Amino acid sequence: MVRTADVVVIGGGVMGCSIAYNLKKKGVKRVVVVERRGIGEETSSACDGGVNLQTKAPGPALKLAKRSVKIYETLSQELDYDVHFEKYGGMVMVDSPELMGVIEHSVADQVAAGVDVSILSGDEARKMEPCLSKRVTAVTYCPDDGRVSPIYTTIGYAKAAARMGVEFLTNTAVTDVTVEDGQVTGVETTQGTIRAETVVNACGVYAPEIGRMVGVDIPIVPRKGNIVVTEQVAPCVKHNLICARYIALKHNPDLAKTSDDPSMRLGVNLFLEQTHDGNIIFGSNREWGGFDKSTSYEILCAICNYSTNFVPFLKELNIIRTFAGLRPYCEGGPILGPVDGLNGFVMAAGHEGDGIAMAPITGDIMSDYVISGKVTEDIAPFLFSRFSKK
Amino acid sequence: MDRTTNHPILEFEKGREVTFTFEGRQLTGYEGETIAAALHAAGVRYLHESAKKHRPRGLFCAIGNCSSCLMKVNGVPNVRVCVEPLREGIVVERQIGNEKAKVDVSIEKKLSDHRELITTDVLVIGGGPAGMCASIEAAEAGAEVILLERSAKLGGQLVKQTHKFFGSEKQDAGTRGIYIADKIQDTISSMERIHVWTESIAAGFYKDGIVMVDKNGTIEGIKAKSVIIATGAFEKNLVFPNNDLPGIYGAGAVQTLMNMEGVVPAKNVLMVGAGNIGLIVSYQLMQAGVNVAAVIEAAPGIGGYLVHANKLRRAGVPIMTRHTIKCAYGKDRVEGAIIYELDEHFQPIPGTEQDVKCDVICMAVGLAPLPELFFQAGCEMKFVPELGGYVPVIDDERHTSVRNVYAAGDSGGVEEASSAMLTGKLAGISAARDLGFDTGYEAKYADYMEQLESLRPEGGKIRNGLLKTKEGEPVNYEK
Repeated sequence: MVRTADVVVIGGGVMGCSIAYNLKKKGVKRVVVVERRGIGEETSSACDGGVNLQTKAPGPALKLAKRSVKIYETLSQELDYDVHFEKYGGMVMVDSPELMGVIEHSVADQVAAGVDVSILSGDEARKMEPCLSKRVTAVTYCPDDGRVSPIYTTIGYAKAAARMGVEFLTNTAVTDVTVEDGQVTGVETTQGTIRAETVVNACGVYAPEIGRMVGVDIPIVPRKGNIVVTEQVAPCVKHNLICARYIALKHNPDLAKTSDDPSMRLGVNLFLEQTHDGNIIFGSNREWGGFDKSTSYEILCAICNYSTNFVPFLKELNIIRTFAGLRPYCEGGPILGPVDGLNGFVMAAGHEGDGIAMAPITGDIMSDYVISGKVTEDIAPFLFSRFSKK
Repeated sequence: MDRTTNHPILEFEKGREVTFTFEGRQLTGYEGETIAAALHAAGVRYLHESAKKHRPRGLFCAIGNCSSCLMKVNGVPNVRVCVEPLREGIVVERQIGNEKAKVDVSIEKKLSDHRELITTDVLVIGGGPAGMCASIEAAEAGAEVILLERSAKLGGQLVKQTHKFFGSEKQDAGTRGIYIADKIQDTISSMERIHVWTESIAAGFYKDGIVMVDKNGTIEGIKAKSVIIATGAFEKNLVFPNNDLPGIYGAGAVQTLMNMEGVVPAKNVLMVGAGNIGLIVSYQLMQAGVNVAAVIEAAPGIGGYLVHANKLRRAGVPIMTRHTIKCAYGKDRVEGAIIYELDEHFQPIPGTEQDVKCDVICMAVGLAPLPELFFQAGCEMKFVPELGGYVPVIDDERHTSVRNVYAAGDSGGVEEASSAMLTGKLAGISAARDLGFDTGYEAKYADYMEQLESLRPEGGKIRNGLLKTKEGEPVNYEK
């Protein structure tokens, strides 16, 4: 079977669906999404839903994150699908004086970058968020942090895209990307050929597999995190809660190796949020485990233990499931835009733990890029060419 | 009060009488029996309301699997009253759907620190006939065994079987199931190498073979050299209008009420299914003083042993083959069912509807293995209808596709109690031998296999099912 398309988006996760939706919305005629399994079956449904500004390093990533949040504010109406976006504020919790220095520094940078964030004492924080342990001595509070349902966001984008005429080929694997004289000519899949001059690699942790088909070494590596989900309870956690160590470890992974604290060595940190339905979802850790998605008993125990330092009442809840997700880690942030010498091959992967927050803006700027061919200042900091410069 | 008196075989030991409150009414029951049993004995069938359509719901499985019985107890929602023991003064209320508990967030409690993994030679998960027999064989050969059982007592389904077992002398022919269970438990108690953990649930099978156990509220991790999964099976239901009315129970639930709690389940029962379970439970109902209005069976013939069927016929119970249930009806509980006849293509014949008045419809339509731990352990699985559902791909020595993980009993494929004991024994000797213990393997293997083969009729469902587990590509569910 031979199809023809203007753009083939490889990967039906939140990025691929957002990009496909935006392409169609902006008038691209024939868009096909090829997904090896089902819509959102990989990382997009194995993560938490935090949409945080506080956790983004000031600079290009933060700028994009702010615009992404703006899109989220009206996304449910736009997609005619409730993605459960709520902006109720977030707190980064400090429980040791050593971390305070790092945090004060980071807050100053963020304020300078225009983020509404302030430092509150532990007692002030507990008035707003009674579940915090007395061990928490201070928090940084940002009213613009919030959460969304990653699964509903993915499905919402996919349904809206399909309504507008995007074709979704699920349970369909791309087996090759065909190139002639440095120009992409299409893809081979398990359901036949699709001729197209533009292919978007939105495969997250699997992006390197597509890269190998065109002889490109894509430095995206899976960074696993274990997540815990509790039973549904009445609303009781009012903010996103993140431990200061999360920020430290995210931006400086080497801290884990040299620590005396065994939980730190396992890369354990805490984020916690209560979903729309009442489950409390928390985690996590960061580990290099290849593509294996199994959870680890030792790490789950460490996560649960560590979490009760900050939110002790968790001890009273039942855990209903645990799972692990693979964040697509890439040094310096995601890879967005063209690859030199390969016309029509567009990268949109490598968002590590920021995928959910960045999905709306990524769909927006990548669709702009595909249509215009212009590398704007949105994409420039994230080009693939930054790797060959090394 | 629907309590059994003068049962021909069983005596019921009850704790002291206690009072409790249900929806503002004062009721009495016996300390230690399940809340569901006490409610049932007091005539309460309607336990909670469905979330969206507010349909009345009651028990189904009565063993803690199906979540049909969730109620609020002392303000705590989502309590499975079919396994929760009754205590003096508790307040039991209906809830709507899955209620979200209000939590006190000001609690300052921390988890206790890291505990060491518990190691052992053989971990047996499930204390029914298969698990108990596996434990005995492994321990006899010299292995240290931890035997996990989620309920308060060992014995599984065996403790409800009041009928005399068949088979050979080796299989305790002529002995009632309950006494076989007692005998096995006595053996276990006498063996120091078997450490029995009751009220302990295997909550997950993690990589590196670590099994997380909820030991009566405390989490422990067990790293065993070998794991025998003997988790048994769960009851199926049929799809028909109003199949969720209070009073539609699985056969196991009926047995639990009758034979363990001493509660009369009903006045009039419609039994759906004429396999062994349907026939045996019908007879047990009659022993408990219950009228069996009819036994219906969709297939053209009776699936169970004719010995059981004839006992029913002699007692005047109609066994109607080629019949199935069209719908149930009743306000807030079962009041009757409409049944109809099926043609040779299993299609309903119009005009053959009959109204059967009953207050319980007992579903004896088959069991499905409880496969979760096999999936979690990464075992290759196959869907085999003849064996009840998803089963692990195993060999005759009870190995699954994962090293040092074995299958015993119904969870490896639904057969019957005697087979469960034998497959348990086979798993036990295999696990012990693989760890280097001297089991007298050859002789025992030959003996147990011979007995097992004799229980499986030539060309029958089980044999066909077992062949299917070997042929073709198994399904490997990627995590």
